[in-house]
Amino acid sequence: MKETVYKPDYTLHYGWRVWGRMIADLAGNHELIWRLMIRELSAKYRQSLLGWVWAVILPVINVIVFTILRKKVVPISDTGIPYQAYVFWGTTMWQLFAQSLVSSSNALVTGANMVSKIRISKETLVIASIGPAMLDFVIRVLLTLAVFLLFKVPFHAGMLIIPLLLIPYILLTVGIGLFLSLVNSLFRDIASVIPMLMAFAMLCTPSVVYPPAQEGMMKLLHIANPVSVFITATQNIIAGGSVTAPLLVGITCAYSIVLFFILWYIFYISSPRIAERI
Amino acid sequence: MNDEILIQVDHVSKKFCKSLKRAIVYGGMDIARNIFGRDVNSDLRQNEFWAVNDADFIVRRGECVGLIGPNGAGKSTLLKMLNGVYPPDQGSITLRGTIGALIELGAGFHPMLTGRENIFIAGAIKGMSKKQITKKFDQIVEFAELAEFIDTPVKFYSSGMFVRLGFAVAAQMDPDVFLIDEVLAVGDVGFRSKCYNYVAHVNKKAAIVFVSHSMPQVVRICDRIIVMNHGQTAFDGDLVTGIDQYRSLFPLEESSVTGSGEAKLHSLTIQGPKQDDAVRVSYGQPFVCDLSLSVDASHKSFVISTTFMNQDLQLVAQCQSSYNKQILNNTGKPMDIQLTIPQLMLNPGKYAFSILVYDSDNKKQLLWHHCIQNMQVVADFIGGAPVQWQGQWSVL
Repeated sequence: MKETVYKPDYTLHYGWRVWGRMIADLAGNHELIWRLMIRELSAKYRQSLLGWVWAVILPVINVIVFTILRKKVVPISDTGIPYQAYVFWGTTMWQLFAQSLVSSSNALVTGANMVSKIRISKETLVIASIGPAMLDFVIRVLLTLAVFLLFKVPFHAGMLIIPLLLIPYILLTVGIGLFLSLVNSLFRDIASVIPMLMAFAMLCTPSVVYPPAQEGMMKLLHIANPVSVFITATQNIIAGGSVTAPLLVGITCAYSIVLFFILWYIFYISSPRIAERI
Repeated sequence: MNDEILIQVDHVSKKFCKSLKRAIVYGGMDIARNIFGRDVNSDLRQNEFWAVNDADFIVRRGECVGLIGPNGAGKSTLLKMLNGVYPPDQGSITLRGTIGALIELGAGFHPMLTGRENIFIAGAIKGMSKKQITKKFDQIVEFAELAEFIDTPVKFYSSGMFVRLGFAVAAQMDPDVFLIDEVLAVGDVGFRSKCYNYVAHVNKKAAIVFVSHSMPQVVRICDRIIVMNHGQTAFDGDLVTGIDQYRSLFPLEESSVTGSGEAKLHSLTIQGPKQDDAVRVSYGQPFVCDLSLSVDASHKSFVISTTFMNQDLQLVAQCQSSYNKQILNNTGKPMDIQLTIPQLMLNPGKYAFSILVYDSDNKKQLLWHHCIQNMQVVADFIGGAPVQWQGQWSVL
């Protein structure tokens, strides 16, 4: 018969078995994550005339604005790819990160009603909260492909690496999101700081500002900042078909994955303490 | 098989902090300690208090324990720990088998979504797979009696419909450990009886912990009582003593005197042994009350009404001279009056006895002595209803 034991600091006392628990818990909750994602998305557009069309309209307008704004001045980069294509892809990548962090840092507070009253896996709420950002990303990727066709950006086999790079990128995002949601459940300051920080951080990534600065402080920020590395790497793949700085990208991937597990561990260890303080 | 221990609460304590700022700082400190692999010191820090203090009990399969106590006694905190919402700060809780809960029904429902969609969400939160929910879907809708509104957003539901839907989803489980928090009072009479039947059905093979303030409910479904007070388990045992213990935690109503002042009560005694501040009267025995009063000479006659109020502040019984077709003529001098009720049929418990004096038309209140005397009705049982008839039973 299954035995459930609750005692002080019980997550801590799992020792090394904690990793097995973490993975088993998450796997056991995949259906709930999916359900909660659908819940968020369907509720979001339910009471609007256009409904799901909104999910497409906003990114489309985004593309149109970009295209019109840059129409007059379209510098062609050395690789022969129009500036918009770069910027649009960069923004798509950046938005996935920024949007996810804003929603995930708020996930536990938004779900406080559930967290403090019923037993629910807290990771589930945080991961489910990035559903809208993911959907937005998928739509933007499709639009990006359209933009590429429009500007006649050549497709090549190297682009198939991009989905592989997306895995550590998304893990990094989820990891940071888990951590921020934990901190935000105690210190609500996070919710106020994140949007502001994101606006600033965007300038440190090559999403709008392209090409990235080659010297000084900005260059350091660019290399040390994994988001920036991922964006540049994927942009370079689009331009040239290969990763231009494999060592840096490799290190960043490894670093992102390790960071994800560390932050997830911190979240998991602390999660029993969230309900009583949120 | 039936004495298998399913819930084991072993010296469990939980502390909370009175100050928000400190609670946050302590939370941050505790989390930081945990992250670096250190246990957290479980002693009280400044501004902290024990919400649950050394609770210790077991519940076996087939038992239903009523967890009662005044507000803030720690019942809900204990129940949340049992449900794994937060862990104890000291001690341990061991649960065996699957855990079901009727707590916070409808948590996780999204007001914008339809009943149908919310059933799937609530089911997923309870760990049911899509397949399981689909299989039980019709049963859930039928139990909730919401077939007509299943595709309506739940924000248009009445509060009763909302809770019914939550209950219906929760009632699809077949738990070994079942936790119930004060939810059986939802819905109309028909739905309530359905809920009771469900609980009775589960009770046959589960250990139940039931938190409630409603003694009739507790009497109806529990076979054992734990009284909590100030975070501690003050009593653990049978229903009669448990409910009595619980009642004794509350002082009865303050007595007060009002009225026109045209009548004056000199003395009042209810016959029977006195214990603490209450007179003990045995159930089924005569109730005798002696009183002495004087009424202003301008009234030729008067009416006396006596009332019995239980601890839920409900007037449960009354004995009035005019309804008994008795005329009390005024002598203008102090008068001694005796009231006898041949057989007292009040449910065992504590009652506040009040006396009112009216003029002959039963209109003007000459005197109202509210809660003049406390009395305790004693018997070897405790019932769910305020009046317990003495019946004659025969097999024909």
